[in-house]
Amino acid sequence: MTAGLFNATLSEEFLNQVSEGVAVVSLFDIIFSLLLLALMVGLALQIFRETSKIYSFMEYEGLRYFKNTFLFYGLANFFLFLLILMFLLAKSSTKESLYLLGISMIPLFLLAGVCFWFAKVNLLSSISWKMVEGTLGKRFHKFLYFIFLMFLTLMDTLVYILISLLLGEYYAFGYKAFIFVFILLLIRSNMRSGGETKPITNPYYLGLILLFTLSFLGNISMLHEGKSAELISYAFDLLTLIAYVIILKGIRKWSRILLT
Amino acid sequence: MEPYSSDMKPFQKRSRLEIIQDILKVIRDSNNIISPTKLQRLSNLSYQMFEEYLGELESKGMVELKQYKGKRNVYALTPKGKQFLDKYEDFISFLREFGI
Repeated sequence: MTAGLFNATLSEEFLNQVSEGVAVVSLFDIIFSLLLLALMVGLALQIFRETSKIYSFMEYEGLRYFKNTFLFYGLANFFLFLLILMFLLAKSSTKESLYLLGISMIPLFLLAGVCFWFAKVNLLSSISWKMVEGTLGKRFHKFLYFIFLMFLTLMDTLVYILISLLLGEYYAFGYKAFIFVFILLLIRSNMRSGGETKPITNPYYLGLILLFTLSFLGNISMLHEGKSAELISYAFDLLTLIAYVIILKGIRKWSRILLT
Repeated sequence: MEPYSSDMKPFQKRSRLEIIQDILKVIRDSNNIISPTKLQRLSNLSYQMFEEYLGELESKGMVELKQYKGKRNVYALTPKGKQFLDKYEDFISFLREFGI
């Protein structure tokens, strides 16, 4: 009897907390985020599909990582979409919808986080592959390299958190800028390799640079508070959409050239 | 016939894709029939590397090992290998435009 009463109180408290959390978010924000996320899922999965076609013909390892990047971005955004959808349902304030949001929030958030992590590692693998392909012949070596990049990406996040806690957000931002310059140099070296001297007519690499900027400098909104942080976050989402559109346009053009 | 990739700078290391292109080009330029020994020499690879690359190209269906006049083994390009070679330049441009 006491246990039953305790559970009931806990459940009531839990629902109250979830209900308070839902009340903070406006309906406009939820619908806007749902639209953005649905677009992101659609575009990312389309890029994945088109790149898979080119990969099945050329089987270049760097391209495999590139296509996987968009599979994981698609999945991550899909999990976030589900999470926001739960928020929309919970706006009805029924006990079931609040409970559903309460129990699914953490798993969906974790799944999205893991997918974003994998997407970042694949993106990093795709641009660094040209540099290491000559030394990584065996499948086991490729696997070890991927694990190394997973560790590196995780360390990057941990170092960022440590610097922001110990030295402050502006130092942490400086650290991110340093990492970003390193990534830009990698992309630049890829564009110059292959013995080609012809100028690049269609700069689709800008989409990739934009994606890197957003995923590696994505915490800039933490430097601000309240409405400005929200606006920065929306701007980041819109820029992500632009990056996806640029990349999809390029991939479609090249799949027409390469697969006909 | 000269070993391939002669347009490269001295000591410049070829990428994996460039090596594959060179192997396929050697076969194509030898009227699509070439002995393994000659192919290894002209594609400028060590025996171990040659075995590795040819194994990969065979498994991907880009080259095939055939019998020539019922006696010698020769390598020949498959339609997939020919298509790969035709589109190689385009593929390199594609990778450059994306920075990957």
